[in-house]
Amino acid sequence: MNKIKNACIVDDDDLFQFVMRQHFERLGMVENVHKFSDGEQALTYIKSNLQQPDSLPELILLDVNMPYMDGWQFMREFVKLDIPADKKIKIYILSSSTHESDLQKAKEFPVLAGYLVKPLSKQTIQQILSELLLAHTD
Amino acid sequence: MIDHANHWWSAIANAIEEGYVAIDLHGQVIAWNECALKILHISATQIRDNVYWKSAGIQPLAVMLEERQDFSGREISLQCERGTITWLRINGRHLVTDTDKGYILTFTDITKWIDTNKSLSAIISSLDDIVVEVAANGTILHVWMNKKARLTLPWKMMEGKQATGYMPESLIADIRKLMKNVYQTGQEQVVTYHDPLQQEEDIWYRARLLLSDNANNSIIISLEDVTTECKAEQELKHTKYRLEESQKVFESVFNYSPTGIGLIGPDGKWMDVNESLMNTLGFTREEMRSMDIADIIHPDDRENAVNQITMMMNGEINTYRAERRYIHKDGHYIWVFLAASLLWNADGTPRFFIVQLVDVTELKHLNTEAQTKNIILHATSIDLRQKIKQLQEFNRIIAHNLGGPATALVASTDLLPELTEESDRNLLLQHMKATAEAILDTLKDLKLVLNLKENDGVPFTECDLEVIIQQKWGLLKPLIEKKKAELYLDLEVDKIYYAKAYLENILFNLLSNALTYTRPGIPPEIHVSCRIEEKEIVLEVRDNGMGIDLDKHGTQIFRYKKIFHRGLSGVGVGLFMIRNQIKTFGGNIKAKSEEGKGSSFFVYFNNNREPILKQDE
Repeated sequence: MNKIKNACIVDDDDLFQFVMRQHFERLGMVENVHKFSDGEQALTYIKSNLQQPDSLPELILLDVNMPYMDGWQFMREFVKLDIPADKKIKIYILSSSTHESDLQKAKEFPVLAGYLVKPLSKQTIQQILSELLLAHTD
Repeated sequence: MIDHANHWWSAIANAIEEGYVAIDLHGQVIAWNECALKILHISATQIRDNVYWKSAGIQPLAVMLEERQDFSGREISLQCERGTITWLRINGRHLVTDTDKGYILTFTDITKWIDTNKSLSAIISSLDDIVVEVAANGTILHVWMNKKARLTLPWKMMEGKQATGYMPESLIADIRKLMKNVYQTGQEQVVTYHDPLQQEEDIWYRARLLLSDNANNSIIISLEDVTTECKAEQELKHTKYRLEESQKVFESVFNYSPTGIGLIGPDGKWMDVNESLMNTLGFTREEMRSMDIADIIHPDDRENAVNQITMMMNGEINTYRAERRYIHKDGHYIWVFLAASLLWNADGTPRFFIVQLVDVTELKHLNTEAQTKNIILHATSIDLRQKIKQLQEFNRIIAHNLGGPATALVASTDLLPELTEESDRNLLLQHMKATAEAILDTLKDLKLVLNLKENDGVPFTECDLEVIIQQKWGLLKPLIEKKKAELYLDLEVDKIYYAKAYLENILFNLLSNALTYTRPGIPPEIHVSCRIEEKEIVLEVRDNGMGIDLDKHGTQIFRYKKIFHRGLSGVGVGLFMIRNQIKTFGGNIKAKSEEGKGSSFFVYFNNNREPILKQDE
């Protein structure tokens, strides 16, 4: 595998979405980048693709502060889902704050792969994707 | 001549009151007189009869005639045939003539005298006294005593001996001096001794010395056991002393105590008051005495006082303490702390109350002041906690609504040089512009909130709720007509003292929300009510709209730019803003909602807070 099949960016900030997509396209390491502007939309997508593991994302970049369903509400629903055993989904929390309360909340979800503080540089994204590819190649 | 002389002699002999009987050398009775016959209860024939002199009753006399001794004043007793006893004092003398040697016994009947003496002894013995007859030289002549005497000396053995041989030195000197006084003055001398024989016994004896009527100049000393009397007297002295002492203490306390003390009779009248009490209440002693205790107790405290006094009179309690308001002469009430007790008469009736009191008005004030300060402190601390919460919210807004977009702007400036396609660059710039505008919007909102804080001192006026509600309702007319909405008012409280502009904003936002988040096909019914709950004014705006799942969104409902309903025009600022307004004045807003049924918003105006904050300033 030399490309990651599906990655999701969940963020209500249009500018952030645009910048991310540009970076992903330019790095050329992901086949499909899915864009969701709130947690509820992302959850609906994942729920509807539980039977098609190939359509499920290998990577989710999840913003904390969003309308309708924020990052934490998404996580609470996500951990209840019956994800196929052989499907590995890495979720990174994105936040513009380094608040202790947010960091504490992140610890409540051991499934999280990490906590990233905005802005994300192209290098950071590249590093995350490379690690992911390596893990999938093994 | 002789016959003549004999004739006279016989007459003389019979005239003598002393009886006599004389015998010749041979023992034959030769002479006697009438008195002898009378004393011995016999006839002239019997006295000459030898048989009589051999009878048992007369033997003591018969023996004396036989022995023929010279003696004087011998006392003997004769038992008569009838059983009575006759005491005789007898003298015996030899009779000597030229031709014969005779013998004569003369005797007097002393039975009566002996009986009197015996009675006297018995009388003295029946007393608790010891009576001692002492001669001028100190010889004890006679002792009469009661066997129970505590003064244990061998009294009977002491007869005929020196009294001083049985007494301690100090007592001897004393008694001598007293005897001397008796002789000199002829007056009775009385003295009381504790433990006179120094035997370490707790006994008292009183000695009375007086001159006897006897020719032998003896002194009669009566010794009386006065232990009981003296002990009682001593006890009485002690009691009296203690009583005097405690009276002195009470007087001193009463007169000089800084505590007000008053005595109140069972009828409730003041009997006496001390200086401090007069100073505390401002009345003079005379004024107090003319008053009843009930006159000076605050009406609200009277029932309590009567209850406590009744309990004490019934003996249910011995004392009580209380805080009461008493009237001062100036007409104002003062707070006193008092302790009361009741003194009883020996017959079990109440004697008087002792009330001690101190003025604690100042303390009370301090206490109230401290309580007020505490309330202010508590309110301030709640205020501070709210401010901290608001600051935390600001922090969150700055991070998410300013920090987030700003970092996106930074990231996009990095990206810009990499974009080669004109269309991509235009799209990025459009997004950048929108983000920058969003940042400005947020800044504007934050400034509004901050202004709100600065305008803390905005004037409060009496706001007519119905007027404001109708006015705001009117502004929403297009939406009302479109959705066929109805408004219902239930204003138990129709006027609120508040910052008018803010109240208008609060009502507009709540009404607007209620008209916005409606259920399709269901005409909105909006109820606005205002009432008092637990002394606080509560305004409720209730709708039958779509509602919010508060389990899911409960903590976020009043957050900045939180949107819960997809596809509606909400921007998530209204509730955030009005909550900030309400909290600025110490109030609060809460929501109740059920998804698909409707929502209720409750505004608590905290109308009790204003005066406290004013005191604070």
